[in-house]
Amino acid sequence: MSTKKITLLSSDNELFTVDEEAANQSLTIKHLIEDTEPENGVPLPQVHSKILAKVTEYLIKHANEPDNDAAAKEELKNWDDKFLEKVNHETLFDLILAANYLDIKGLLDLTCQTVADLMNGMSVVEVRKLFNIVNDFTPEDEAEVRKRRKRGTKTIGPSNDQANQSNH
Amino acid sequence: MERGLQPALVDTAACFCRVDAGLKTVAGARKFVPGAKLCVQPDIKPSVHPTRHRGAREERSRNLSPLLPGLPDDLAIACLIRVPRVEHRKLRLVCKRWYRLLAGNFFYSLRKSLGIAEEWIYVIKRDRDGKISWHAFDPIYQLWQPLPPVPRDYSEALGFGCAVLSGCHLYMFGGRDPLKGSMRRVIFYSARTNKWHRAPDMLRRRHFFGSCVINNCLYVAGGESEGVHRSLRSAEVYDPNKNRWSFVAEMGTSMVPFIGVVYNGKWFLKGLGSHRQVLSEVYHPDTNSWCPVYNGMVAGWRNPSASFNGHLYALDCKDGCKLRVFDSSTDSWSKHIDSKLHLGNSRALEAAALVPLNGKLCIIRNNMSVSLVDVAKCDDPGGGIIAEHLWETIAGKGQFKTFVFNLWSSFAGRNRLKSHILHCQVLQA
Repeated sequence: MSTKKITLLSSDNELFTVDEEAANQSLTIKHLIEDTEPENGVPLPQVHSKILAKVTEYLIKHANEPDNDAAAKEELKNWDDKFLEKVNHETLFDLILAANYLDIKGLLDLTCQTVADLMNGMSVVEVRKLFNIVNDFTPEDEAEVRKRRKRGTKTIGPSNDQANQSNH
Repeated sequence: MERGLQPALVDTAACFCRVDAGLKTVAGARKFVPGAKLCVQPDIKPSVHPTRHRGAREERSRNLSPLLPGLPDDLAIACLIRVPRVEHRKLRLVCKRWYRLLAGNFFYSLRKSLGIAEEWIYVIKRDRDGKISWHAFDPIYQLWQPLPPVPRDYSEALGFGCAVLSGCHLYMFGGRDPLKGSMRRVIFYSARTNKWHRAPDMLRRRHFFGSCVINNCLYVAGGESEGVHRSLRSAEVYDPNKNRWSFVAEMGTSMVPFIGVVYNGKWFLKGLGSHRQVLSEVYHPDTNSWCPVYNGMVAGWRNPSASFNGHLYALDCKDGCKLRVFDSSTDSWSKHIDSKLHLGNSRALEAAALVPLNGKLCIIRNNMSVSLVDVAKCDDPGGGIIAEHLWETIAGKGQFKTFVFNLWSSFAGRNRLKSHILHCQVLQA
């Protein structure tokens, strides 16, 4: 097994050292090493040290993914859950951007899923507040949607609106 | 990370076939364009005047706020498609862009291609007052979901057909309206848009007919129609890609089918002939021909039944506590899978439908209780096996009362015995 070390250079010039095997999970880093064989560390000008620290933590943990070991898989899953547990959504977004840029599929899936899970059980207003989304529905739109939902849940049978819609 | 490298914004209102052009990030492109054919929604056509509309759209999309502030849209979409289906109704109310995204084929074809589309059970029933109502059940969160009401054409229809095309479109067709009589009408509900739409009418008016889906084409045959020749021999097919009905070969004799299944690529139908005699015919779609059939399969065949993973299953006990499996080597329904947990003989406990769901076989009873049977785990039902561990109840009667909205308590309660299930289907989104 190769134990060659790779040095990564963040946008604010901090160095991170990981095993080549861990680094190769990032296809971007892998291609950069293959193409340029950098001597003073792989420059990653798009990733800040704060985020790169998190990314390398993930890369090191996931360097040897278990194949058939159920217990080890479970342990890794628990680790993943903990890994992003206390991360706020801005950092999460930065991690998504970094995972996308570095092309680390596992991390991208994990971070996107975490964002999706944030919305579970939240109200519409809470979702808007969390992600800083402006409600651009006019009061008329909302009244229409509410009316529709009311009909959808409380009326059994026909309504004129539905008959019109079916003339699509 | 550099924000100047943002990809072109995805215009969710644009043609669903082209929208992948907006995915410019490396991982985005690799992830989201798994094949050349992203659009699995053939009947939604691009704009008739694409060039004229495109300019306006691009203009508009430049001014749009991002789906998730802080993320380019393709990554925002990668997050949003992972939100479970049970939350989608809520997400549509967050803002206009989310509303458009979550009512579009692009969003749902991505979920499908990534294998995270979720299957819900749709139950169409006749209530005590004779009205048709329908309800969706999310088997993962074990919640009943509200749906837009069934259009007026079908609110009291009798003997109509029900089938699923393209995995996400639930069709209702034909049937007899108490006032207007036999119908040619076809409507469909899209689980993606959560709306009802019209489809081209059938060529013949008919009710109490047989129907099935082979290769994503909808076949109907036989049934009744008002007029001189009450039972019908004719059969027709609807291809959603062509958006057109056309006749196929007529059956050997006219028939009012009461049971049908697609097994080994052939459509088996059993029903009553014009002299009330029991008939069975099989349709071969490859040769477009019907043949009478008298084998052991049709002889022992009872409702409800389902074809699943190349095997044919039917109930051996009305409450769904025991299954029969057709054994083609002996040409008989000799294999059994038994839960050894008999529920009772009342109409409410009667299993109304058997449908494949998430790799298991799903039993839905008239009291809206739902059980899953993991039939794949018993590959060798040699004669009769006792396999109570394969049964799993995902919606009990009690649960139904707890979760369901007020209106449904009326049939979950004292009226339960009088209402009954007409059709059960599974839609993916």
